[in-house]
Amino acid sequence: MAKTPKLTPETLKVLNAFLEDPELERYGYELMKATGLKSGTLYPILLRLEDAGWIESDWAATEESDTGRPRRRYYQITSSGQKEAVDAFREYERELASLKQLRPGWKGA
Amino acid sequence: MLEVLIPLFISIVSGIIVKEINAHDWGSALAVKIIDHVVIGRLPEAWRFRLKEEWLAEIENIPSDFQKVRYALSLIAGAGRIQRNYQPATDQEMMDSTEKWTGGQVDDKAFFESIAAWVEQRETSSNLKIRRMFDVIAVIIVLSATFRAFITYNAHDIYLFFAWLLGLLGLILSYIRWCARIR
Repeated sequence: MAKTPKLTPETLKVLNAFLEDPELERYGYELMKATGLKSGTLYPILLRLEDAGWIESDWAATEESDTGRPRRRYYQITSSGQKEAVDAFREYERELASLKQLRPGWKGA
Repeated sequence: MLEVLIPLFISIVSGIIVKEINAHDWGSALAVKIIDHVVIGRLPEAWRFRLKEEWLAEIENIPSDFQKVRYALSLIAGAGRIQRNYQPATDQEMMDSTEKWTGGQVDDKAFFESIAAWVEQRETSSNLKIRRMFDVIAVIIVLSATFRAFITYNAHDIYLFFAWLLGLLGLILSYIRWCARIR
């Protein structure tokens, strides 16, 4: 069974970008712009999410004229990934709410 | 004499550096070098095929030269993180996954040759002879300016010091572009 990825704030940013339009296939640089993360932060997260089965990826279809060129890789959230991501956000909200109960005046960072 | 030579050297060297910086492919060349020599070596063996091709494709699509270099530099730390997170798979899993990432193109040599052929084709299509001629002239001028600035170096003379620094930077940039071309 795939390991559940560590849900850091950066991972949540990536999941949020995917959840904005789950049908959309996105490439690395596009995700960097959407999340504001650096490449060195983004790719380990993508690989962890892919390893867990939350997202999947595939090479872009190439035309004959592009033979030999490096191919772009596209990422898309899976249906199980969508469910897990939504659950992760709910869990995050619950934790935030419990923190607020501990310190009623606290409004967060 | 020196009063004439110093501004001349500075303007020549600055001009060459501006030319190098404005050359359309220095960012790609440097980013590819960083990925080739620093990043890929830090990755687990099983990920190299896939990530190298993916990152080279991304570099082609990043608009600014400085962003390309930033992208590649950030990947150095990223490769370290990937290495730390990596859990070795069984031999069969590795074979299956490598085949999946490379689309069946598991021959390392063939893969890199196809990428090299693409780079070569791109170079040929962009007035290679003229660019090479200008680069040779640029290197000769930068070398002589650097040498001149170096032998007359005086710690109290800030202009000479900057001429030397600029000359050195120009040489480094020329070298990077030259290396990228002969890959």
